[in-house]
This record gives sequence, C-alpha cells and structure tokens, in this order.
Amino acid sequence: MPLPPGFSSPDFDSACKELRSVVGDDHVVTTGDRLSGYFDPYSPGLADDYAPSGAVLPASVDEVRGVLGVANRYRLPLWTVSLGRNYAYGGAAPCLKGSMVLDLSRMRAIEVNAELAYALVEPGVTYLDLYKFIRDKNYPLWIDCPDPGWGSVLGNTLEHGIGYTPYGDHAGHQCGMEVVLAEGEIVRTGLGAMSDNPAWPLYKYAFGPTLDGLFMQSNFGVVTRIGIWLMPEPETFSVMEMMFRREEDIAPMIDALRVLRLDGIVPTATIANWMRIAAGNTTRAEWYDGKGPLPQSAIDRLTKEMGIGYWGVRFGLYGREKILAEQGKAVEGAFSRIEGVELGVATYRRGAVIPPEHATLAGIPSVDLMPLNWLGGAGAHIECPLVVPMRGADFLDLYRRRTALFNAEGFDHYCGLTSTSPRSFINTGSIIFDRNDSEQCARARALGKTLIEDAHKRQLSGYRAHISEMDFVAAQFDFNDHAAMRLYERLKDTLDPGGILSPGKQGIWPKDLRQANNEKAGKP
Amino acid sequence: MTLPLAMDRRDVLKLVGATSISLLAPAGTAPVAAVRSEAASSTIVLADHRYAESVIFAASLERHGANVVPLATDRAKAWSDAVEPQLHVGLRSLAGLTLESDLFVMERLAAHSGARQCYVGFHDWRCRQGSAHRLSATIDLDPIATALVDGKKRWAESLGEALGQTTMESRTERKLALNCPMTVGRGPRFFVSWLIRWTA
Repeated sequence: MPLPPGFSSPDFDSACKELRSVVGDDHVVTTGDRLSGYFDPYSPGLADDYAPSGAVLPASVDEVRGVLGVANRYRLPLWTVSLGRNYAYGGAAPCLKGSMVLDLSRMRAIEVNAELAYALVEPGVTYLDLYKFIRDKNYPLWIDCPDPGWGSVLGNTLEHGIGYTPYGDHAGHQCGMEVVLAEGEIVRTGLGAMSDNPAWPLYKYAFGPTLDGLFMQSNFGVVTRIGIWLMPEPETFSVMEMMFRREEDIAPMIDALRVLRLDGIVPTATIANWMRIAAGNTTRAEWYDGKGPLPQSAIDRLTKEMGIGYWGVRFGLYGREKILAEQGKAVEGAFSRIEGVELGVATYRRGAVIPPEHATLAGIPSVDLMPLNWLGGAGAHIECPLVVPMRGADFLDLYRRRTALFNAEGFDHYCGLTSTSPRSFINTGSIIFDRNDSEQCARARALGKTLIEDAHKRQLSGYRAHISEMDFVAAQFDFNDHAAMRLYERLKDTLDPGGILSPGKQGIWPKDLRQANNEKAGKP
Repeated sequence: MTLPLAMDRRDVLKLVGATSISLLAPAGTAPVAAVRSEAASSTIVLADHRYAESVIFAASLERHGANVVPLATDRAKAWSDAVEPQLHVGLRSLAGLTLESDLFVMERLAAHSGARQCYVGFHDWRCRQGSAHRLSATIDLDPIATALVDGKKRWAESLGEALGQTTMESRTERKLALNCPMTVGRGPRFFVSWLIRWTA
C-alpha cells in the first residue's frame, strides 16, 4: 500500500499508533481485505493511482477531534467519507494517493421529530436505515432517496445528490449542520449557533452569513451531523408515466414539462432515453451481439419488442385527491399535443402498498444495479452529470451531439434527465463499461474527458465528477480568471492551515500541494 | 493450470487460446450424485427467476440442502429480509449464478458481517463461438472446471452440484481460464457464479 506523501514507514506506523490510541486497534485499517474496500471499485483502470494508505474509523465527535489532532501533528492527509458509497465518483478512494480515509460509518445516530417533520442524522446513517427507522415507529413521514438507496443520507446531501419526490433536491432540504473544523473546533450552522435553539433544523437562515454550503462538496471541515426535512405522507400519490415514440419528441416534451414545473403542477420529473429504460430491464446481448454501439435496427427492434418509446417520462403527483385529479388533467392536456404519446397513471391512497417499480417515487429506498450489466462483464460506470437549462430544442441538439460522442467511443448513449429545480435538469450520461477490460476502461476515460470538454464549449458543466476528473472539471470554471477557485483556496488555507482535509476534493488543494502542482505544470 | 494472480483480461484470453480443455478435465469423472451434503446445509442460494440458468443452478444447490431465495427487484430487501436474519442461526455461505451487479451488491452487504468471497466464475458467451470461463477461488477449482466441461447444456446444474460439495478452503487464491464449446440461448450471454462464506 502507498504511504502518505512525504511519510516514511516509521512515520506512518507512529501516526497509526496514535490513531489507534484514539479510536481503538480495530478501527485503524492498513492491510488486507478491509483496506481493499476503500479502493474505487468502479475505477476505469486507475485504482492504484488513487490508492489510500489506510483508514481510520472514529465513532464520535470527540474521536473525530482526536483523529484531526493526530493528523495535524503528522500532516497526515485525510479523505473524509460517510460510507464511501459514492460509486461512479470514486467510492471511498481519495484524490491524493496515500491519503488515509476518514471513514465516519460508525457514527449512526438518528433522531426524528414526527410533528415538525425533520430528522437529524450522523454520517453512517443510510437511506435504508432512515426509512426503516421511520417505518418501525409508524411515523406518517416519507423520506426522499437516491437510486440506489444504500448510501449515506448525510454523504449524499453534501454531494448535492438528488431523489425523485418533491424533496428530491437533497441539499435544498438540509437544515442545520454540525461541523468539526480541521483544528478541532465544533461549529453549528444557522440557528444551531445558539445553544439549544429548537428551530435549528427548522429554519435555514440565521443572524449573519449562511455557512452550510461551504461544507458541501468541499474540504473545509468534517460534517458530523445534519438536519433534513421529511415529507408528510400524502393522502394520495399518483405516478404518471409517458412514452414518446421519436427522438425529436424530447423538444416539445421538455417545453411542455417546463411550463408544468414552473406552474408548480409537476413537482419533479425524470426522463429516460431508450437505453436507460432497456438497461434497467435487459442486457445488450439480448438485442445485439456484435461490437460497437447498437445499430438503429436493433434499437428499433428493442423498442418494439419491449413496448417502450424512444423516451419515457415519469413523475409523481402528491397530495389531496381532488387536487391531484385537476393536476392530472393539466398534465394530460399539456402532453397530449405530442403525436403518439402514451400516458399511464397509477394511483395509491395513503397506506397502500407501493410496488417496487414506483418505490423511489415514494421515497422507498432500494438497491438494484441492473443497468451496469448492459455490456456484461464486471459492470461499472463513471459520471459527470451536466446541469442543463430546461429548453427543448437546445437539449435535443446537445443529446444528438452526445450520442455521437458516445458512439464514437463504441458505447451506447445512456441518458437521463432529472428535474429537481423547475428551470433546469441534471443530465446524467452514464458511461457504463467493464472494469475488468482494460481497453474498455481506456475508452471510458477518453469519453469522460471528451464529454467534459464538449460541455465546456457550450458553457455547460458537470455538478459532480469522478475523483480522476475533479481538477479538470474545476478548471472549466474560468470566470474572471478562476476567481471562484482563488476564493476557495483562501478559505482552504484559513480553515485548514495544515492542509489535512481531503486534498484535491473538487479541485481544491492545500497551499503546499498547490505550489507543488503548479511547479510540476510549469506555472508560476 | 494456475495463472499468475496479477493479470488482466487480455492475459487470460491469450492463455485461454492455448488451453486444452481435456487437460482440465480428469478422465472418467463420475456423475455427481444428488445427495444432501454437509457443506450446503447452511447455505442460501439466490435465484434470479428471469434466467433459467440461475434457477437451475439454485435448484441444484437446493438438492444439497441450500435454501433458495428469489432475488427481489430490490436486492437490499433480499439481503435484509432473507439473508441477514439467517446469520444469527447458522448461515455460513451465500451463493448464486446471477448477473454481476448482484454479486457486487451482496459482497458489499455481506462484508460488514465478516464475509468474504471464496469463489467467483465469469461465464461469457458474448461475441464468440462457444464460451469462455474465468474462475478464481480459494476452494478447489478442479471439480468446478470439470463440472463446466462435462456439463455442456446442463452446465448450470452441474456447476451447482460441484459448488454444493465444496468444503475445503485455503487462503491461497487460484485462477483458471478455459474455453468450452457449449452454447447458451438468447439472454444476457454473461453470468457470474459465486460463493461467499462467513468464516468466524
């Protein structure tokens, strides 16, 4: 295993000995199967370049502070993860090879207030845990979960993750945060800055600047607890599903959806192209067993035999039955203008059993990674999801361009759009590949880079990225000669003067490594 | 034939090209009897009912005493409802012939309770005549390879029989690659057989 940069073996052993005195012998990992769990399982052939030196697992805020104390004394780089299930973006693996993973999975406290509909969770709480906690106590509350739902609630929220109910903007529904700063000081944000203020998880803004966003997708502190708002169980829940036959139908469909989103009739929506629908249910070899992307004839046969459109749209409507009936009419009216649209509706009253195919729309977490089997082999994916304006013609143009780029590297275009804000989409373009196939890994890396470059030419960017692409994506944010990055770096140097927290996260490096990187790149 | 541990897929395929299947199959292998074996009595086998091969494999292990659990759409539910509770009452092994993502999920869920993978086989019919198999295990691979070669159209059943009878395990990992002329019907054209064990 690699050592942290600048460490000798005795230095590292000494640091680990001190860490063991803080968290216990079993909770410092430096060898064996347990350490291999911190490598990126979906790495496109780069796992060794991002190998950790070990992992340390504190169980409390006090232990986190103890770990940070040791790390500062030794200048030991720590890569913070909640559970490390940020697959497709690096899993638990660090940006800086040899970093020690600060694994917070042992911190698993949950507190739910059913009356005010919120939860306070520590990093080790998964969506499955929170769902089960609420269900076991019969609270009339729903959570919102990503798909798959086995990750950390706190971790996903900090990464700006998304779900499929009206609470699908996870960062938008976070309220209240506890952070341990690099030098060990504990800070609570918002109204939590006042001791015992009961409105801490209820109202986002307090007296003074809003700090929460600084600790999301960043390396300025270690977040040990957050509040999240929960959705009251609706009286009625309707799932609306539509199929559109032609590629070009996406343009009028998005324009119709935008109006419904801005009007507040549709609270969120997910769009999938033929491949995303097909890969959720079948594998590529069932339709075509040749090399390269699926030919159009195979796509035509697939859509015909599966009875699916080129595009599918799905969203939920939530609330009082009479209101939903009116909303349903508005939806039907808006989309029926598009030729050939097929609309299906399923309605569930409070307490009804929700079938698996509609579970995520009802905040029921599940784990099914079926799309990764599309090519066979050991399926993996990497992502750099774009934020795109909700304008139909622009998106059709982007979609066609990206299809050409996927196909040029021999991949089928897996495309999804999720609208957690009424004016934009998150555009997922999953690069699915066989992680055991070095040639496919190389093509996946090349495609990832090409997609990021192409998006930048259109002044678009990803909102998340794989660890191997974080610097590259960060560099695209170039307004005023990268003024935002310079501000992040000033914050980094102030809040983490030892440069120990998650070096390189989102392209933000501590001073020493920044200078070393610049020298390597020949920059002043 | 044992392959070096550090190798990529191209290395395997290169070696597969030079492999004579008969070298791997001991002569006169007797048909495996459908007897209840000690090794499988504390085993759960997951069955994906979309694929006949998966169901046949599970039925084969069931004849050796394993409990069959259908794979629900939600893999985490299959784990938490059917597998995890059995850990407290003597479950020692979890097996399946599934798509690879199911192994990925189960391996990670099981790792928290101290389990580790002791066998995995990749079975590949994509873009080729016949089939290619890459096996890796800390259990004896020879009966498994033999089962595949001898099994032909009944390969899934034969593989289940072989895995149902495994007992000995060492820490030394062994890898093996072979080509077989057997065919498979329309379907994923790629399966993974696997065995996870709890050692504590």
